[in-house]
Amino acid sequence: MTLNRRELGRRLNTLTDASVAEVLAVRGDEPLTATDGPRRIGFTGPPGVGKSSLIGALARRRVEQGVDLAVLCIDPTSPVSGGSILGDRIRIDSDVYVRSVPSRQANDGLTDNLPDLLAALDGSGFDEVWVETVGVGQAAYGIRRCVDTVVVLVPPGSGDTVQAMKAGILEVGDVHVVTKGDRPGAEQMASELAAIVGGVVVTSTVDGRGLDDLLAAIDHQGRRPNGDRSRYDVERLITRRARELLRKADVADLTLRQAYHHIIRTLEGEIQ
Amino acid sequence: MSPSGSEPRPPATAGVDLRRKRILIAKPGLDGHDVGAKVIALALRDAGADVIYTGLRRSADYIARVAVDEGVDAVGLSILSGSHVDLVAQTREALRAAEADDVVLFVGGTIPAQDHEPLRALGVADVFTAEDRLDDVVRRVARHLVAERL
Repeated sequence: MTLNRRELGRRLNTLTDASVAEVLAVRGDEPLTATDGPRRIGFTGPPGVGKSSLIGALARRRVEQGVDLAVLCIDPTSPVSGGSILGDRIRIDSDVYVRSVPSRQANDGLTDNLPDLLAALDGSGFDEVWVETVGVGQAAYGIRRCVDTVVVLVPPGSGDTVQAMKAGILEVGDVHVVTKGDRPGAEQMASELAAIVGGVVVTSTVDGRGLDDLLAAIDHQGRRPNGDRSRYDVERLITRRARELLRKADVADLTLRQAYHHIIRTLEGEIQ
Repeated sequence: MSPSGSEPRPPATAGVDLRRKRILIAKPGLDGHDVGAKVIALALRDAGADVIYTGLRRSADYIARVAVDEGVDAVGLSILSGSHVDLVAQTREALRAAEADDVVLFVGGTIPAQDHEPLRALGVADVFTAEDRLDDVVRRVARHLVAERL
């Protein structure tokens, strides 16, 4: 593929912090549902589970298979300064397009403009786009709505972790992985996990075990119908706009109904 | 993670706002010490910047490629090995080859005073050493990146 990295880099810059109005100016008149874009794969799991290392190792193999790959790595934004350290940059010198993005105001392990960034990558000729979420323990349902396949990573360790995650991220996974498979406890964790979710792949970026099996398991998954993806795209904009309006609104002396109506009326006013 | 519905508080360094600025902190060459690079990265983060860190021993070509892919406004090279003039020249050339001449280049590390001018001649916007106070470094970086706001 011929990729203008400079141009794509700049386009993603514009979209990373685009306001709702800017998003509409750039993407507003494109069809919401693109049907034949690159396949999207999401990787999620608790902090320190080894998402970046695993993605790095998998990406290297993927490129050897001849796949044109882009990876979006989301890192947390500091709530204090609004800044971020995007330190998880994958260490691969192979030909993968890696882009680090801060989470900004998003609190679901993703980033405000994720649908916009993904749309930009969709049109850039990649075969696959991978998304690495912020390290999250629970409530990471957003990623499922944006990608075809969700890979959930679990570290070896106590079974309590699995119990805690049962009601959270395990449910969003299509493929389940126990990382750091070279360490003690990984196999036991895998069998505990398998009792809950079915198949589990044990991987290690140290000795390379399970990496090919994991790629095969991912390839075994189909595409997700992207109706929900479109809904998420719209929902994201409406939520952000409502949040912007609420930040400016003085609701202290209003009833719940008055405040709700105030926001809805303002939203309606914007399209008249 | 940011509590939903609240804007981030103003940056810690008084009068400096690097929000929405993307800065790559990179270590070219062979020295293996990155405490200074990490301290600078955190200070810039505290001023609101999005800071990308490459890790140790990166080639000039790799640094230029990350700068382009990540769409950064500036690259800060941390060099303690003494070969700063060569490494800066290589990085500048790699950025030029990647059509990223507009990326502002900073250098920090053990840089003798007599080398500051030669580095500036190579297109370095500012040179920082251990003598410089952290808030002063952040302020000088901001001067080059947010001049239009001052």
